[in-house]
Amino acid sequence: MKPFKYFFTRLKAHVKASPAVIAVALLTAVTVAFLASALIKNAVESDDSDKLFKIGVTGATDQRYIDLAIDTMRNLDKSRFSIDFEIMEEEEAKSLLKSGDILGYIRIPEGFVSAAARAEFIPVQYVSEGLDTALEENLMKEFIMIAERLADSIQKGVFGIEQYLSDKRVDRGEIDEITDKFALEYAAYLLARNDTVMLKVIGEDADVSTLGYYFPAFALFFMMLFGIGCASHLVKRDMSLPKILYSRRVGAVSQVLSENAAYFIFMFCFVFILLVLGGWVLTGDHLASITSGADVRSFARFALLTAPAALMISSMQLFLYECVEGTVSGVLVQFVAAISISYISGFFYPSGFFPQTVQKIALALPGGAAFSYAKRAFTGRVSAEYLLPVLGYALLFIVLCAVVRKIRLRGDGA
Amino acid sequence: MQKLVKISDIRKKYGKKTVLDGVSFEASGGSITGILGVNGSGKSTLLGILSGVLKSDGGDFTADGVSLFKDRAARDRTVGFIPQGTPLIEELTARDNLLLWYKKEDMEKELEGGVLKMLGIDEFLGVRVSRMSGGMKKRLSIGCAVANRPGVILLDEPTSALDIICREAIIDYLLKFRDAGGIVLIATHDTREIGLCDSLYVLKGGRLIETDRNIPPEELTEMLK
Repeated sequence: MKPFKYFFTRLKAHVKASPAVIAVALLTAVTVAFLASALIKNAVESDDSDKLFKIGVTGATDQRYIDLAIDTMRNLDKSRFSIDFEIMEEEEAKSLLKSGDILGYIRIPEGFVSAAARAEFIPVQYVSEGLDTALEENLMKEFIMIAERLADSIQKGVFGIEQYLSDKRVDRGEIDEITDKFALEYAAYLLARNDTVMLKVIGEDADVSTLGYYFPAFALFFMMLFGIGCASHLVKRDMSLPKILYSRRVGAVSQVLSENAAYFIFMFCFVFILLVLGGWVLTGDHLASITSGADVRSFARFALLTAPAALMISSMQLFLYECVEGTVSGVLVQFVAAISISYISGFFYPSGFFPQTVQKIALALPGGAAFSYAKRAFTGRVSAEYLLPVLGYALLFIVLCAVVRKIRLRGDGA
Repeated sequence: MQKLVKISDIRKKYGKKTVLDGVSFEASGGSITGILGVNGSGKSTLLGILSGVLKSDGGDFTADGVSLFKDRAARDRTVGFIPQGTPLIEELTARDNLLLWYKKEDMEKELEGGVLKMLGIDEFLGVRVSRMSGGMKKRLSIGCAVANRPGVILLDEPTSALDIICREAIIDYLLKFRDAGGIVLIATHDTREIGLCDSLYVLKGGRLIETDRNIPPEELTEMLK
C-alpha cells in the first residue's frame, strides 16, 4: 500500500468527523474565553493594591504640576493594567529597566510644564524594551488623559487670573483681551494634546498594535484548542492499524507524515475560514476603529501566513496524542498544554507580566516561537529569523512522534 | 495458495527476558494450526514476527522455500495478518475502510460473490465502524486483511469477546479458507478454539510443545500452568 492512500483515508476520516470536532472546538474556545476574561477582570478589580507594573519617572520631576500629574496617573489607572509610578534618577531607572524591575521609564524634559502652559509641547519620552506594545498603547492613552487634566488646571488658572485682574480693578476690555488670549492658548493646548507623549520603543514589538497582538494570540490559542475536539480520532487506543500498515511496508515515518499532513490540512482549512470570518467581522463599520483601516484581504493574507504555525501546532498535538493511550488522558494533556503554553507565551495578556527570565524562556519555547512568527505575519513582515524556529519545532515534533510510534510498534505485547 | 510454510528457530528477547527460544514448526496447505498459551507467553510476539511488525533475533519463515523475512514483497503477497484489537478507522464506514486496502473494482467484485460477501460485510457496508458491534468489526478486519488474497492468514485471538453468531461466522469463513487450501495460524488462549485446529502447539517458557488436539481440557490447563 502506498502512504498517500493512507493520507487520503485519514483526511476523509477528519472530514467525516468534522461536525463534532468543530462543535467541541468552538464550545471550548468560547467557554475558555469567557472564563479567562472573567478571571482577569476579577483579579484586577479585587486587588487594586497589587501593582503588577512599575514605571519610573525621571528627568525634570521638580517642576510644578508634576506631582499632580503623577497622582492623576495613579488615579486614572482604570485600564486592565495595574500601573505604579515612581520618581527616580535616570541612571537608577536604566539599571532597573535592565534588571526587569520596571517596565519602562518616562523622561520629563526641562521646562515641560511651563511650555505646556504656553501651549507649546516638548514631548515626554517613554523608554522601554518594547516587549509589551499593548501596554504602552494604554499608557499613551493615559498620558492623553493627564494632558486633559493639566489643561483643566490651566483653565482654572485662566478664571483665577480673570478674578485677580478684576479685583485689581483692571479695565474690563483689557481683562477680556487677556482671558481671550488665554482661552485661545487653552484651545491650542487641547488640540495639540495628542502630541504630549512620544513613545520610544526598542525591541521586536515596536509597531505591533493591540489588534496585531491579540488577533494572532487568539488564532494560535484556537489552534491549540482545536486538537481537543480531535481527541477521539487522534488518540491511538490500540496499535492494530499501525501494526498492519507497518507489516505492509508503511513505516512509522510514513504513517506519522501521512497522519500529520491530513490533520494539518484539515485544521488549517478550518482555521483559515475562521480567521477570514473574524477579519470580516472586525472590519465591519462599527469596529473599523479597532482595525485601523485593515481590510478583509489583509486578514486573509495573515490566515495564509499562519500555515507554518499551524503545522507546528498540529505536529505538537499529534506528538502529545502519540504519547498517551486513552481519550481522557489525551484531552487532559492537550488542555493543559494549550492553557499553559498560551499563558506563558502571553496569549491572554502581555508577557510583560512575567519576569524577564520567564519572558526569554517563553520566547524560545514552541508557543513563543509561533507567537513571534504570527505577530510578524499579521503585519505581513515574515522573515526567516521568525519562520525557521517554527519550522524547526514542527520538524522536531514530527521526528519525536515517529520515534514514539516506532517504539510502540516494537514494544507492544508478548 | 502455498503448499508448505516452515517456521524455524525463531528467537526473540526483550531486554534480558527471552520470549521466544528457538520456536520451530511447519504447516501445510489446507490446515489450521493453533498456538495456545497464557497471556504474556509470546503468542502475539510470534505472530508479530511472522507478519513483519517485529524483527526476530534469529530464525526464518519460509513459504514453499522462499524466505519471507528476506523477500518482503513475497511476504506482502503471502501473509494476511489480523491482530488483536480493531485495525480500523472508527470515523469511516466499512466501505471507506475497505477502500484503504482494496482497489474499488476488486472490492465490488468481492462484495458480489467473494470473500467480503462470505463474511457478510455487504450487509453493513455503509455503517460507521464506531457504530458496529464487535463481531462486525472483526469480520471487517478479516475482510481488510485478506485484500491481497494471501495464502497464509495469521490471527491473534480471533474470536475473543464475540457473541456466538459472530464467532460461528468467523469460524465458518476460516474453515472455507482452509478447505480452499489456505494455511491458518491462530494464536489463542481460548480452549474453545482447539476443536477448529488440525494441529496444536502450546507456547510455554519461550518454547513450542506439540500437543494432541484431542487432549482433555483438564490436562491442557495443567500443561498451560
